[in-house]
Order: sequence, then C-alpha cells, then structure tokens
Amino acid sequence: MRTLTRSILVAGLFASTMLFAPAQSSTKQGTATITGRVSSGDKPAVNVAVALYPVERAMERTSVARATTDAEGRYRLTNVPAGQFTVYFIAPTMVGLSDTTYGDQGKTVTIAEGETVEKVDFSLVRGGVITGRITNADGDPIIAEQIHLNAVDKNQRRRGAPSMNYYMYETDDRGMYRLYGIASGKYTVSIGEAKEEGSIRFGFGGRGYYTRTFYPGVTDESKATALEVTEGSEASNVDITVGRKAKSYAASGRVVDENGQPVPNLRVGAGGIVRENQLGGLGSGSMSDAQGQFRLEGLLPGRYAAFIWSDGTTNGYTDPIKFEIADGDVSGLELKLRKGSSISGVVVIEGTSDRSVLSTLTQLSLYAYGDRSPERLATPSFGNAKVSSDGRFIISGLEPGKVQISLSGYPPPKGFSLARVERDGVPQKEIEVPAGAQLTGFRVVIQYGSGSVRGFVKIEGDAIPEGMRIMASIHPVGGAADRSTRPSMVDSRGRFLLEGIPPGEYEVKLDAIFIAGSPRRIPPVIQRVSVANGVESEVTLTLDPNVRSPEGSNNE
Amino acid sequence: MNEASLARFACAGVLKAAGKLFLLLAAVTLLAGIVPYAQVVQPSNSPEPRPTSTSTGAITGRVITDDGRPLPDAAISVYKAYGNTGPPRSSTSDSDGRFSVNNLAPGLYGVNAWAPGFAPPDVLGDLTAGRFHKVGDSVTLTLAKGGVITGSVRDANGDPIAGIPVRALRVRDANGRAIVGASGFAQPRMTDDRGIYRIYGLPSGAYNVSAGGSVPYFVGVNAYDTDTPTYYPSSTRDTAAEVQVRSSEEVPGIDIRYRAERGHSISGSVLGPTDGTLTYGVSVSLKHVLSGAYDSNTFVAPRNKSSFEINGIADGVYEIAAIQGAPSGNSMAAAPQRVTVRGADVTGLQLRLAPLGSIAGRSLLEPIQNKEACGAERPSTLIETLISARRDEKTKTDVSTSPFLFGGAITQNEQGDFQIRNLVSGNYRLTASLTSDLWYLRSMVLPSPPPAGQGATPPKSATAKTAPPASPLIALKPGENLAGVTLNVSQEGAIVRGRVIDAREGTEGPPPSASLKLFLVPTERERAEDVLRYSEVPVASDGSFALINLAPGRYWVLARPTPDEEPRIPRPTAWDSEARAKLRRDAELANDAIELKPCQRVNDYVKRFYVAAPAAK
Repeated sequence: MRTLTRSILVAGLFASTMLFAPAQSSTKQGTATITGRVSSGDKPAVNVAVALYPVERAMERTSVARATTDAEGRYRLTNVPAGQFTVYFIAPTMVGLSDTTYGDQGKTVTIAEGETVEKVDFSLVRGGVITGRITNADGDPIIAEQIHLNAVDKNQRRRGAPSMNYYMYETDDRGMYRLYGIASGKYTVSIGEAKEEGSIRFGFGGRGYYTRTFYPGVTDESKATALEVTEGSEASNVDITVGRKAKSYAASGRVVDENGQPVPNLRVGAGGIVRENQLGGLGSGSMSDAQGQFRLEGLLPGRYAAFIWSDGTTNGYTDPIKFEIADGDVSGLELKLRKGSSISGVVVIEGTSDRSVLSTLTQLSLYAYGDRSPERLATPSFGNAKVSSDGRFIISGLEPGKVQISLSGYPPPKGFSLARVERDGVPQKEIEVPAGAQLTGFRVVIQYGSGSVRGFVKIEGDAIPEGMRIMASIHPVGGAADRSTRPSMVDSRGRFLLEGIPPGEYEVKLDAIFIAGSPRRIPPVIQRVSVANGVESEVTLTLDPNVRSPEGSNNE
Repeated sequence: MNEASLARFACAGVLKAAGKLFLLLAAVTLLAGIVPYAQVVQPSNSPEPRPTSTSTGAITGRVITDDGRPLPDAAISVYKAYGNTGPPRSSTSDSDGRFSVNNLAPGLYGVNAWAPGFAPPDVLGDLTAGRFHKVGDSVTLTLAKGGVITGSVRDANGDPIAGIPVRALRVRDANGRAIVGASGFAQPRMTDDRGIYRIYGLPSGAYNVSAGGSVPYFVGVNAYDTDTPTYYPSSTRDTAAEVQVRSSEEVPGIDIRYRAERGHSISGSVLGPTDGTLTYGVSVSLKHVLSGAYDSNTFVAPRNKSSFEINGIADGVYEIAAIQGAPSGNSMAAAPQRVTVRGADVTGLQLRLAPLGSIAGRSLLEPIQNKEACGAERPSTLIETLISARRDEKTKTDVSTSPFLFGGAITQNEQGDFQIRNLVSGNYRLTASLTSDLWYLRSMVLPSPPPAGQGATPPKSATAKTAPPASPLIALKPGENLAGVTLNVSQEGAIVRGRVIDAREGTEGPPPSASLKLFLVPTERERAEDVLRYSEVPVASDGSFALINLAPGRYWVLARPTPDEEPRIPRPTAWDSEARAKLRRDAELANDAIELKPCQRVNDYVKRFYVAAPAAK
C-alpha cells in the first residue's frame, strides 16, 4: 500500500516535470558573440558583471546575456541573437568614462547572426562618495527621506542623479545616507520638497514634507555649497539640519455629468501649475466614488488643476478646474463630465497581402490627441481605440478642437506606420472636431513595410570618440518626419539597423552629440536610400566629429 | 504632450515614488495571497454598542510607542474596509500623538499608523482580526520601534559586493512561533560601496536574511537577479541560519559570504480569456510553496508580447499565479500552477486568464424580540457590517494562492446586500464582522440548488430549525457567480469578557504558557455540527480575553495552548470536522459550562487553567 502511494507520488512528480520539460528556449538564444575588456586605469577590472539588454525593451530587466570579467578584465557574451542591444557594465561603485551625471548610458551593439563583435570595451574609474547625516533641530535622525543629488554646472542647476541605484538616496534609521559611484563634477545635496515647483505627492500626504534644504543648511539654492567630486573622493559629514515638517493639504469635490448626476469610477488626477497653462508634476489621485466624490491628498501649497485621467475609454471629457492650496484643505471642486465627440471609420493595411500580417490588425490601436495650443491648459487626456477584426474603430470621448490620429504604442508595432487619414477620399491632417459630434467615414491607412537599412558610419579620423552618441533616423523624401519608424543608435563599430520600413525613397539622417564633458552637437549628416520590401539596403555615411554645429554649444 | 512624453513622465513618476509604491505593492502582494477574513475576535476598542451612525463623522485616536510615550508625526491612513476604496484618507499625529480624520461617510474603516524606523503595522493581522472601526470610534495604535539587522556581503575572495539587494524575511514571531504560509515579502536594502547593508524597522522575531536573487518590485539594475539568493551565513534557503531581532535592538555582524550560484528561469506566456490578447497589465508572481515566501514577480504589459520570464530560481516547488486588475474591479486570474524546478529552466508555461467568481446575497437584521433585556428597537443599518469570504482548504500552509485583489472586491449597502467578487474557485465560508459586539450571525442559508433555484429568489429569513447546517461550505466553481445567500443576523447576542488565571493553588496571575486560546463549544447535541456556534479567541499575555458576537445558549469554556506551528491566518479549529469533534470531547471532559442569555454581558468571567510548560525544544 505504502509503495503504491509512493509510486503514484513519484509518477505525479514525473508528470509535472514532463509537462514543463525544458524545451531549450530557442527564441532567445542566438549564435553571435560580443567580447570586450573592462579596465580601471591601466589595470583590468576583475569580476565586473556585464549585461546585454535589447535596445527596444531597455525598461525591462531581463537581460539577454550575462558575463563576468576574468582576471584580465575580459568578458564574453555568448549565444546572442541578431538584433540591437545595449551592453552595460554593472559595477555600482564605478563610473564609465562616457558616463554623464545622468548615469551610465551603456554601449550599443548592432549584431547579425553568427557574428562576433570585439572590443566593446569599458574604461572605468572609481566614483566619488558623499555621505552625511540628516537631523532635525533636536538632533533626532530624519529617517526614510530622499536625498537629492544635484549636478551643478555654471551656476545652472541640473537634477541629475543616476537612477540605477535608487535605494542609496534614502536615509536610514540613524538619518545617515551614503551616495557612491558618483561621476566627477560639482554637486549640491538637498533634502525635502521645493514649494514653488508645482510638485505634487499623493497618497502619503499624511506625512507632510520638509522644506527643501541644501547642504550646509540653507533653503536658498544659490547659497548651497557645491561639493567637488573627483575620482575615488569621499566627502563625509555632509550633514543637513532640517526644520519641522510642514503640513500638506487635500482638495475634494465631485464629478458630475451634464445633468448634475454623480459619475462614479473616474480617475481624478491633478497637476501643479508651473506656468500659465502648463502643468508640472502630475499625479493620479482617486477614483470617484458612488456619489461622484473624489479627494486628492498630499498637496503642498501652490496652484493646481484637477482633471479626469482619461484612459482612452472614458466616454467624455472634463475641463480642468484650477485651484490654489494656501494653508488649508480645499473642497467643493466640481468636475463636469461633458459628452465627448467621436471619430469612427475603418483601418486598412497597405503594402502586404500576407495573411499573417493582416491578422495583426486587432493588435493595433489608434490614438487621438487634441490641440495643444498654449491658450488652454492641456491635461494628459487622449482618445484611444482598439481596431476590431473587420477593421472598424471608434474613438470616443474627444474634446472639441483640432485632433490628430496616430498609431498607438511607443514605438508602434514593428513594420507598421500610419500613411494617411482620409475622409471621402480627401486626406485629413488635422481633424476639426465640433462639440458633441459623431464624425464617421474615416479611413485610416496603415502602411506595412518589411524593408530595412543597414548603415555604416565612417568617422573622419578614427573611431567614434568616447562620450559621443550618434542616432540614425529615417524619413521619406519630401515627407514629414515619420515618427513611427524607430531610430537606431549607432554602435561602437559605427553600425546601425533600421527595420520595418515601407518601400520608397528615404533620407537617412545622423544626429551626433557629445554628452560627456561640455555637451555639443555636430551638424546632421544626410544620405538618400531606396527601400524595398524584404530587402536590406546598405548605406554608408561619413561623420566629422570636429565640425561644430552652427547653433554652437548646447547646454541641454 | 504626445504619448511618448506621457510614457516618460509616467516612468519618472514611478521612479520618484518607487519607495512608497514599493510598500503599496508589497501590501497588495501580501493580500493577493489571501481572501479577507473576519472571524477571529480580538478585544475590541469599542466596549459598548453604540447607535449606528447614519451621518458623517470622525475617527479619532492616538499613536503611542510600545513603551507608552506619544508618537508625533506618525502618518495615519484610514481606508474603507470594503467598497470603492480609493486612496486612504490621511492625517498626521500631533505632538501628543493624537489624530482625527473627519468627514467620513458611515461604514467600516481600517486605521493604520506608520512612522519611519517603527515596525510596519500588521496589515494581514488587521484583516484577519477584523480590526475595523466605525465612524465615531477612538482608536489607540501602538507602534514598536523596529529592530535592526546589519552586516556585510562579500564574495568568495572576501571582497565587498556593492549594490546587491539584501532582504530579511520574518520566519518566526516574537514568541518564536513559526510563521507558516506567511505569504512573506520583504523590502530589499542595497549594500553600499563598502558592501555594508542595514535593514531597520523590523518587528521582533526571527529572520532569514538573504542577498541577491530576483527581487519582487525591485527598481533599478540588479546584477544578481539571475543568481539564487544566498542566505546568511552562506547557505541555501533550507539551511539558512535564523537571525533573532528584538524591538529597538541592533543585531550587527550578519555577514553574508555570497555564493554566486546561477539560478534557473521560469518562462511562459499569459493568455487572455478569449482570443489570447491582454487588455490590461498582468502581474505574475512566484511563491515558494514550503516557506510561503514571494520570491519574485514580474509585470506583463498588454502592449508587449504576453511572454514573461522570471530568473534566479533555485531548485524547489513553486506556485505561479497571474492576476489582471481592471478599472471595473472585475479582475481575472490564471489558476495557480505548481512548478517544480529541478536542475533546469522551465519554459513554455501557459497562464490562461479566466473570469473570477463571486458570492452575493443579503444580510437580514432580525427585529429585537426580547425588549426587556435588549432594549428598544433602534434604527439600524448593516453598512457597518463586513461580510467576507474565506477560502477553507484543509492544507496546513495555504499553498493555493488565491489571487484576490484588494480594493473594490466587496460591495455592500445599507440594506445589507453584499457582493464579494474576484474569488478563485474553491471552498468558501462566509464570515461577518458585525457592527455591534452583541449581534451575532444566527444562520446562513444558501439558495436551493438548481433546477429549483432557477432565478434564485432568496428564501426569507429562515428559522434555525430548518437551516441545517447553519454555516455550510460554499463550493464555488471557476467563474461561478453565486447569488441569493441569506445571512440572518440577530441583535440578541452575548459577550463574555474575563481573564484566564493559573489554576494551581495559591496563584493569581495568568498561566505560565506562552500563548493560549479560549474556546466556546455548544453543549447541545443538536448544535454539535453548527460551526457558527463555535467561537475561539487568543488570550492576551495578561490573561485577558473578550468573546463577542455570541449566540445565547449553553457552552463549555475550554482553554488550550496555541499550537506551535499555527499558520499566520489560523483556520478556526471548528471548521475541521475531526478537530471539531476533538474540541467537543475535550470541552465535555473539562466540563466548565456557561449559560448565556440574550443581550447578556459577562464582564468578569474567570477561567482557571494550567498546563505544564512544554519541554524546551
């Protein structure tokens, strides 16, 4: 009996293992190889992790390949599939020579199946350290508050804090913080929130906030002490004493329809008004409840506008309401949901008769964005619509005004681009949408392209200088900038790849910028190219890094 | 603003709010593993029943430290126990630790306090204890100064490892009792450039400290997410050394020698219910079955391919679940799947989303019959009553992750209509957290099974005699929407408060047992199977207890030590038929009976109890 039970158990385990038997994940494994060396000064950087991420999915944390440097600082990324990738070194205490105060930019590699790319090298130096303690006037530690590291340049403040290592910016239970891996440069250190920036915090409003205070304890930014960070330097006792926590406030109100009836389940957001008709920080606040009531908490004193966060399915829109928080809560705000207009029609795909491509129609969605003229306060609302299997679409809830339609998704699915929008055979660039109108009969033509351009960039002189970034983009000759073909970063070998391009005559454009040191641009280089479906065209461009852009230096 | 810049500022916002977001998501994840539950009764903060509120009002209170001092500047959040929850209402405690949150609509609210460096409130505990509050309540919240674990992480050569996430997962409570099926989740801290980490704000207990591995909700680049975590001092999960921490104590020298062992990956795809495409984002979470720890999670955005991959997984048995939230509040989930990782990657998993089920019905408040004892009829509403469903499976660790989404899942109104949504299939029991301690749940009636129950008109208040058994198990099929459940609520219950004292001669204090439970067992034979008549409550360390929401009748009072390996969300003993029978036998043998009359309040009941302290393990 016992044996029987056990064998059933084993069989069960076996079955479940069989079910999920490792089927060699062929999708992500390729045959290309990337090698390089990581050095620190004239010594090899040993035991440094190197990771390869796809360019398109850089926000995702799943790497395609990983390696660790050996005793000579060498690494080897294997089984790499064809495509465009970024190679990052992961050494939080170190700074790459080409890193900026915005952090590590990585190195782009465009690689084909079976290819080996060598000498994707990194030269690292030990970053600086800034450490200190934050207390209040009684000497109590200020715990779990965010430290801001601000790179300063010619008296101009920049909010540059490498975001790779988010957690080190928080003070611990002793009020201590320790920032490390900082690139050389001048920095100020601050804690707390600035009132005047239209900043907004939601949900944790009960905690109040500290008035922004710079080291060595000043609220006036111009009086802040700038710390000089150099390779391997350590600035300690960078202590700040903060005042008492100031209160934050709440704003509340109702969402009603045109008959004054409450509208539940709409997400109400707010933004801080930075300048007239311009919103700074935005926050998504609360859902309206059964009585249409909403409440936005954690507001610092300042001017705000409340609005509906349209998710593209809201069948209506609201005009934003402005309000001001001084030293108390604000109530009685009323957001009126107006019936939106709609645009409907069909989507057709041109340039292919491939059934598998045509069947992807339902994966597309259209996106309509309204007039962004400075005369009105623009809120982040937009219309969004999925395309049904027969190609029909309807975008509803639109505000009156001028509307443009584009393909949704950033970037849109590879190979698809919006060719034109027609109504009764007449191309429509901007659609004038009257209030409460149901506009029908639109024809949205999507072009499918499977052409590609493989590019080679020759650098006048030698290799691409350290700290220079080159972006390659493609535009139809005589056409407007086509936002739907994704640009490509030129890799360390001067290669790039543009894919999913419909047939036609194009211009390939190189934009180069030095991001390290004092940033400057180089005049764009343009080259014509013909593209055909299923064909890989080649193009070679020459770039001279020593030519200065007529616009001069650029302190972006 | 175009969509691209929209996406960018959304990202920036996420990064800026990441720390807070983390806590929020952590709470959601914790809750994802459970269904709400409100049966275990704690000594209440509202000793007397009060008239039910019908207008807006305030919840006031005070935040104190565990040594009794007022705690100023604590963040207070007050959130609805059910319904359209929205963001919590917030406030800050003043210099005397006092707070007030005004203009609250009638209903039930959870109240939390948070202060940096103090141990976070036990969100799960609140849910399980039904520790919700009515408008007008005054609440005292006690926060304990957290403990600290600090040390270093070094590689095989003894060199410090910078920027590696370190986590401390609580595995035992302050009394040394294992936290079984904890659905545990721990916020990571990173080592600095010297390889030093510091984790603070920890509640008393024992911890497993680990470095590296794939960390749920991690923000930033983690070079170690394809490794399996190394547990202190340099081991795998099975052989990890526990680190004891007490409130406000610092435990230094918890140095980890990192093993740098490559883990396996689990990958697959999430499929929508109809054509396979996804409408909203999906959260995929991975739970280690034996420890109950949430090891990893990943998000699948609808715009991208629906594939997912989780790395850094050690050999073991896991459960993978997928949940899709929706603005409508109707979530979808993929049935949790067991995944065994053994020496190789697991690929090709398919998680197919399906609509979740619901249970709906009505609570009926029975009129007061015994006006002499219970007073005159008051205008009453059921809006301050929380009906919840708890999954009742016989497993010791609740390994079957129930993808329950907190928020918007329970709706109720003044008339007592309730709906509990987003339930995975399984066996459920309904529990009620009642507005008055004197009320009790007299019986529960399920709609008659089809075909008779077509169109399910709920039976009107059924009398107890015709409703056997009184608290039946609801077997919910996948995606089933069960309606027409009737809960009969009586206003003529009883309360027993008192103390358990040492039964030995010449003693006065509480018995010297670490943790006790007190049970009420119905003496009448025909009530033997009526689960609603059983009651159990933990005894406080000073021996005090409060049993509320009791049906009138005759009971045996029984005290027992709490079992060592009790799950964090204990399954009431009476829910299991064998355990119930044993409980009855024990109670009958002890033969310590009490008779409770309608609306009776027993305030000074003394239960004498002694059991020899268990031999040290």
